[in-house]
Amino acid sequence: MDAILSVRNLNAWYGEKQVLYDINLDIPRYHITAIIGPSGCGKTTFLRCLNRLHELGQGNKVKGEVYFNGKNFKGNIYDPKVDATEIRRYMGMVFQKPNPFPMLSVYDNVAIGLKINGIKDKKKINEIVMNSLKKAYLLDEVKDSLHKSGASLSGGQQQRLCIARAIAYNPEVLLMDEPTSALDPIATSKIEQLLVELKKEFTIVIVTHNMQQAARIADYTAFMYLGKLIEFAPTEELFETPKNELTERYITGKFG
Amino acid sequence: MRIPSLRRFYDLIFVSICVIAFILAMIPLAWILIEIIINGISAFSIQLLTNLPRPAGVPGGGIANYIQGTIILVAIASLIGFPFGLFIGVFLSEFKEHKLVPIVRFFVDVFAEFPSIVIGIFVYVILVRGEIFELFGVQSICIGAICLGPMGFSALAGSISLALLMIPIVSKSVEESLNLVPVSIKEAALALGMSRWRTVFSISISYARTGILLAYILALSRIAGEAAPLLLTVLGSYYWFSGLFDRIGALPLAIFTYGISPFEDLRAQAWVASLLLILAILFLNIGLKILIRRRFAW
Repeated sequence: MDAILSVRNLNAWYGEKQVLYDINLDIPRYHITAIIGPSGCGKTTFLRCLNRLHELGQGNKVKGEVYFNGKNFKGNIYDPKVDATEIRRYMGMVFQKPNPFPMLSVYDNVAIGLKINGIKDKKKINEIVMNSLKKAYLLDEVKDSLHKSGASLSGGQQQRLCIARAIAYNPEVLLMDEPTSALDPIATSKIEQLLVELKKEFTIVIVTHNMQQAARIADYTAFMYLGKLIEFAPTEELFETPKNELTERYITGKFG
Repeated sequence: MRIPSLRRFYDLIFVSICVIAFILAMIPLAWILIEIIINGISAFSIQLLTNLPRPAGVPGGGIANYIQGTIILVAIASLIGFPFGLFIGVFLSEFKEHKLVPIVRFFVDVFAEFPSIVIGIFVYVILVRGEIFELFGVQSICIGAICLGPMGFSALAGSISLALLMIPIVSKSVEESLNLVPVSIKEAALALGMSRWRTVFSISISYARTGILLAYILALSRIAGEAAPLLLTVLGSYYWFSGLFDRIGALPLAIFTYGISPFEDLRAQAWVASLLLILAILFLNIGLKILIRRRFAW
């Protein structure tokens, strides 16, 4: 398996409280990997460790290694010599609640990531912004309101705007934290279709509450419980022939 | 369901107390306003806005230099005070885990409650009389051709004392505005690979810009009407602004000196000065607020 991210012995703390225990996991390139598990099992924390966002919380701590085998970066992202800001530029993140910048226009919400990455050519920015909005299946809906505030869109549109923002600067990995949990079924299905389309170009790691969603779109699924990785397998295998009893009980709805 | 009549009665009593308290509190406020407007308008003339003061009894005197002085003092105070206030506010809000934050917050809180005359006497001693130089055992400090000595009563000393008043007001309101920026917005910026400083200055401040501008207006209207620190630092002047190190006039000083003068015509001018000051503050607080809300809302 060609892994773009190899997580080794990852531990994480919220202040004094340990929330991740010795996670070892390989994330396959150009596939969708879903992370499922009951609330509070550490799924989101795990995701936020992959782009070094977790450590920004006051008192938070991370120990372990995450090897990133990217085009512009190869090595352990937790190496003390590595600049976390740089790492975050190789990864895009989409959050649970849509969070477009309300003081920026729809257009600038997408363009801002390019500006951070040092792209100054206006023509090039314009091209990438339009292309990203198109890829996020949003362009047709917003082409007349590109200069309105990002907050003026509907919830589902806002989330697709956030996806456009996250893919605009061409990251290699997309980290998604329950991106559809705040959306209605139609918006959810639009985003799911979009993700299947996007995995041709990006590696996607998606945290989801919704097992059906994992079953529908993920190539690989990881089941976490109480801060530990219980099982990781191709999605079909995990759902049809789980090896661990906890996994089986969770996916059959006996607890969770 | 029917509300028991006793409860209705209590409700009525409580509401009546609130209304009476409101009316009683409004009487003096309305009175002041009406008094200033009536006296101000009856003494108003265009020459007041264009002419320099003349001695009592000589017709044609104006208060133009005081208007100019207040604008200059407030502008320089903003140039000095606003950046300091902004940076302190950013520090208090965005670097909460820093060891110095509790100390800075303590000083800001104390300073915000400081009587303005104490700030005035401080600037008077340190800068106007120049005791800061005595600390170093010299009369003045020269860097090349520029020599700094005791400032004397001057526009600059006055602006500095107003800036000192402004800093805690601005920094507290900036801190509060920045605290209202949702974490999710900051995280969105950080996840894009923005550095922490850039997130603060291009995302948080831009998100909180309405609050920050309102903080600035609040501080402006507070310092525009201050007389006490100016009495100790600029002393006032009957002439146009002639330099940062010269004395300068200001509307609150005109109100003070003319208001207690024995001459009828000067007292009338004090009313006009009051009216102008109140109009300026009302304009800042109502007009600009509406404008900012419209212009910067999203």
